[in-house]
Amino acid sequence: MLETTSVGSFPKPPYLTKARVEHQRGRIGDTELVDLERRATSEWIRAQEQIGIDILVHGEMERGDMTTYFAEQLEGYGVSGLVRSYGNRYYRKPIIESALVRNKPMSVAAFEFAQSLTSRPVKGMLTGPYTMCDWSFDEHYATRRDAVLALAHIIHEEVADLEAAGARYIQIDEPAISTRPDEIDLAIAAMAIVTDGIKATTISHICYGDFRTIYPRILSLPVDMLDLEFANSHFNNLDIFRTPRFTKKISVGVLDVHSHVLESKEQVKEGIRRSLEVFSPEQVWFDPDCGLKTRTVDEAKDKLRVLVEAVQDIKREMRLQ
Amino acid sequence: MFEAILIGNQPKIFDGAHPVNLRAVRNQFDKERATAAEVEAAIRDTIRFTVSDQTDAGIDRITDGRIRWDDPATPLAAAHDGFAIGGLIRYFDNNVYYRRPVITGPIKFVRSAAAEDFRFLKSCTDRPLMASVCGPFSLARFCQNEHYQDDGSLLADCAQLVRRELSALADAGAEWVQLDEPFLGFAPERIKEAVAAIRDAVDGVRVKTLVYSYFCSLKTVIDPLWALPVTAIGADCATHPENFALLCGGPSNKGRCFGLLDARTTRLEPAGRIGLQLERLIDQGAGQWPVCFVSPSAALEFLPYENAVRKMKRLTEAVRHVRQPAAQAD
Repeated sequence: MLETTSVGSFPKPPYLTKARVEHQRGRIGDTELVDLERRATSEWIRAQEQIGIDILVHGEMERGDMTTYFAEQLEGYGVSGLVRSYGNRYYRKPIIESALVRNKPMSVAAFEFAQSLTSRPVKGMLTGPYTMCDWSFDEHYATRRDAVLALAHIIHEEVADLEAAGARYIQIDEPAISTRPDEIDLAIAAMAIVTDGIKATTISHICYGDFRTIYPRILSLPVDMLDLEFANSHFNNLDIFRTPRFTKKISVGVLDVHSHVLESKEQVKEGIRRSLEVFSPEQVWFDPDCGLKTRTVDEAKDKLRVLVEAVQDIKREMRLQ
Repeated sequence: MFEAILIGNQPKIFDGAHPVNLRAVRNQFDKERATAAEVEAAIRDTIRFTVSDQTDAGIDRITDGRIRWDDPATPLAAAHDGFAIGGLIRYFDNNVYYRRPVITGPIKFVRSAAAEDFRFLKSCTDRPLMASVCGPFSLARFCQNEHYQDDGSLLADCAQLVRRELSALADAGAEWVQLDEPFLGFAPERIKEAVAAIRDAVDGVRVKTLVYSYFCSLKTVIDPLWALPVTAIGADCATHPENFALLCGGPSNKGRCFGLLDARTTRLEPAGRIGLQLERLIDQGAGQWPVCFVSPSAALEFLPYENAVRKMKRLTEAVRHVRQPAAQAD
């Protein structure tokens, strides 16, 4: 009860950031880069264990952008020039150029390596079909529906492979799902394909949109848990979920990942208390609002430490510990 | 008859096509390895190159590409009293984010957020220019109101703020200003208040104004817009094709702007299709309207630089083809 987790990405240590640039320039090979990614993954697994996080993530040391990473591994995708996403941050937006085909697993090796380092559960991490489509340019499929459903079948194969590799928790991120409320049924249909027959606990992370426009319809998304950001909006969006009652499990974001400022334990506890006015202790986990990759390594660790300490205090207050 | 223009933000980085990298300079500034003066110099160089790209492509009215602006609202919030900068939020249905301004006190004009860049733009080119600023209705919607007790007071103060920006742009020598009003079609129940706010902002100002809306259909809101004392009304006709006929259907004393090329896809529209649309506009009486702008549907900054340039060129080629059919036939 009141488990702690993370959304997905962690900051890359400076040696890995440098190595990725060197790899891009052809100065180091694949093996050397993978070794450094594994070293960084090991450091993050150890850090999460030491901090006391319950459900771990591998930290996405091998990924740049959450869409482009998968697009680069799928036949049919190309990658565009740089497009701005926020402030001075840019990414290479994928382009669907022909029919999409998955030739090999995309995330299983990273999951298996991370899980081999710890006895705590590590989440399998993927980007969902609606977001993959919405954050790509499409020059091939006739309609958005065609593209989303093609991606759904591909991501289902990946989810099934993660489950077969031992993943007990599989997170299929859909941050774009709240952007077009008129397409929520398409996103739900796609997720039904993705999670069809899957026994692992499925989670979907959604952030920085207007949840009001998709609630309560989003409760029909065929996953076990939703992971939503609340700290960024000062928990004002909690009210949306009071009526009708929230029926799934939920991971509540209680740390602002886009601020260098470290929240105090009391601030985080206040957010947890407010969340527990809306959700029952049995249905709730706590985590940062989103991936922590834009923070420094120290900032990210400090934020996770405050999260764990705040949750432990609340558990003591509730006599759950 | 047709004037090719651009809407809002243009790409700020050039993928090596020009000798300036604003992104890198800003990154260096964040690491305290570049000075504010170096960032300013990079911004100005970037504006110069976006001007030269537009000139080379044959755009008829040049903009500064809003190189200094990341979104339509936060620069206004940063320049004037009554705002704080809040949490991150997605910019419509794009994978683009901005920090949502929070209105914490009475909105008061301090100094123009747009005029200085317009003066600089003027120094970069002798060609006709188009300035731009956020319209009052969308400014209010972009922000989170934690001060005003009622929307009427909020919109009235947003309108006065935008009015002062328009006056500052007029003082700086602007002939035309594009007012971003993307929220118009998203709030049909508020269209009377929206129209009142825009009227308060533009009535009697010394610039020609183009009210431009994007990402939405104007189907339920177009009629009251025609009564506005603005020079032209424009809309995204690429993702909402019905806007094409809606704009054609207005009174002949109003100018129009047709957003014909989809600014959010790398798919390049066939030249023939744009040409046919221009011919339809001629049939619909474009020659009788005070002005007929054609443009991308929204900001080209949603595209990589190379694709943005291709769209720009496709637009101007189509306009040139209509202007000089005989020369093209040769």
